[in-house]
Amino acid sequence: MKRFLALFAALLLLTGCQRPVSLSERAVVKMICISRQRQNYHVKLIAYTAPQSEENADAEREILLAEGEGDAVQTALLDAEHRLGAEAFYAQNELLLVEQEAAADRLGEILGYFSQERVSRPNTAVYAYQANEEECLLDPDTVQQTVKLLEEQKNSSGQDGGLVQMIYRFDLTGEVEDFFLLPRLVMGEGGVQTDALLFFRDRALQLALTGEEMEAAQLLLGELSRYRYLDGANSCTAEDLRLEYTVEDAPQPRLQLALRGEVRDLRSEADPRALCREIENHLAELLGQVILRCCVENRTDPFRFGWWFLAVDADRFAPLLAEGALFQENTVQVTVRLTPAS
Amino acid sequence: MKDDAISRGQLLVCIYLTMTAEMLIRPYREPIQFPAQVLIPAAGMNLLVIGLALRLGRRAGTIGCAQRAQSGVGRLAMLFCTAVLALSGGAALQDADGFLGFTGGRQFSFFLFLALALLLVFYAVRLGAEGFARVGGVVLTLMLLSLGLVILSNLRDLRLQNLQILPQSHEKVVQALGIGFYASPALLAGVVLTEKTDRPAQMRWGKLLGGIFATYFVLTVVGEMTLGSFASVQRQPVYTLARIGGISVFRRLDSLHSSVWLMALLLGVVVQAAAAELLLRGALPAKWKKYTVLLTALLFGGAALFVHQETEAALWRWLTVGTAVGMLLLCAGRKGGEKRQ
Repeated sequence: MKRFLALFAALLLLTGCQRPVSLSERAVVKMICISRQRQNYHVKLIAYTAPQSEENADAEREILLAEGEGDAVQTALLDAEHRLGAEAFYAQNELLLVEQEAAADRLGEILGYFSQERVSRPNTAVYAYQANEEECLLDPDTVQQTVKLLEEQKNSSGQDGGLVQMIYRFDLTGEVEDFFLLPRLVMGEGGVQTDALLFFRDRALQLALTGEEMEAAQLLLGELSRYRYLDGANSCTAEDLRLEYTVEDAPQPRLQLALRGEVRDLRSEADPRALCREIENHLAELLGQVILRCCVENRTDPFRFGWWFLAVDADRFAPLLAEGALFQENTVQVTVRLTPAS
Repeated sequence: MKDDAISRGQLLVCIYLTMTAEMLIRPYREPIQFPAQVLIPAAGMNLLVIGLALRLGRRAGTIGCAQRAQSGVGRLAMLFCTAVLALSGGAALQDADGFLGFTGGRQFSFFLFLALALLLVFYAVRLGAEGFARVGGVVLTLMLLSLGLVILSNLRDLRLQNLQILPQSHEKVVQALGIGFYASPALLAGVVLTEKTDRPAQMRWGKLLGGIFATYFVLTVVGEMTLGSFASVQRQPVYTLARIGGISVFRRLDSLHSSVWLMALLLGVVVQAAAAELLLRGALPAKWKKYTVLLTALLFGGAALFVHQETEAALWRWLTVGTAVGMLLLCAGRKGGEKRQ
């Protein structure tokens, strides 16, 4: 009996409810925006209050916006938390937006902080935005929809949701990648969308890929497996796109990149095979152009092409890769093979 | 069969769980910044050295504490090993507290946590080896489910190109082995507790080390394929995997995993406390024997307070040295005991 009582007393202590905070006293942070102002970090927290009842939860939910400023990310966050008027609850936060100039200047520090912070999740999605877009992105009337869309995009990552950069995907050591790659958000007609892929290096924006180039880069990153070909009545979609890699060592180091897939929604009267060739040529040219801009002109390797060379002969190719001398104009050769769906 | 006997398999399961928990829960250890290509061969060599040491000293566990206590060296070995096990148990309790704080926010103080943990240790050691050996089977099932779930929930994010390929990695393997060589005091507990098994001379240490290597191999490769270079700056990369992995709508599985890992860690503390109690029972005069369980709990509590006050980042190095010296002393103590017989 004594043992039982002792065990029961111990179990009571294990509930961990010494200082409970009720749900109504919490503000559930759903998005964090960071910018730089007057050499300080400026933080905006977008948080929801808990609905009073399950029914009609969306309508009852109040949206809170709190701002804070500080010389470090942590102090700015604490300042914003203080002004929130409720206990900040970060467990559901999956979105971190960084203003483009702040990203260029301080992305390493910002990501470093969030990668170490206990309450921040390493799979928080990180996006850039331009300062003039902030008002639209945080518009109280649409911010709930914006958060919902971005969360859906993040959680469908790998299923044609486009590039989602989560904190753990960045190389914070700088040993493998000496740049940061971020998708940029804008408010479009149908809501929030990605309009560019930005490359930051040495505290500056080095390259921005937009439009079809952005799509091609996402194909090369393996984040998209479909491509929409737009040409009036010949418009169609290439699907199930997958990349195959072959390294040739002689006479020059070369990576043969083969993109294969199917064209499924052919509706035009044109010859399907001829149309496939047309799309193949267009895609090969587009991919070649993106590879040239990223790997040769800007000496970045976001698509990890260097890995395939290292897998063949690390001793030989590692120094070339480190010097940025591996990629020349013809180092990566792209072929595209599409077949009309039967 | 002796009273309170356990099978060799049960003991190996308990030691495996203790070592796996040490691998997973390390809130105060600095990350070893090497990729899987370096870490895996270094871990293999580390375990090979331990395997050889266990092979050479395989007869150390075949002699009981009562016989060992007949020589001065034997008693010294037993007291020294008790101290190493207490320090290791104290460090594990400190790690458990740190891990709790990291996973769920701090709800109660270290001292309250310590009191509860020591109550558990006292109760489990009093129950005897059979008690914790039975729990070991349940915790092993949960642990394998948890690790399987961690891998399954990250399958979508595995990328081959995340595996780092370094040129001339041999030198780095030696370097990593030098920096991170570790011999767990759990092995010391295992050697001591072989006395409780039916055939101590036939302990299959190779199986245990093989299991540890396989677990390390899989977790390191999955960690790097998912996290890339982010893994090398994480203190607890497997916990990071647990935090990011999700299955379908279940995107917060880390609490589930951490509770299982903590169970394994506490089981490890109990195993080491049981070994320490056995050693104390042999080394102390007969009139002290009814207090050995309480004394063990107090020793572990004292060690935990010491580690908590003097948090030493390199404590694991001292524990490695302690384990090696403890093994040597146990071997020497065996010879002494045999001669007297």
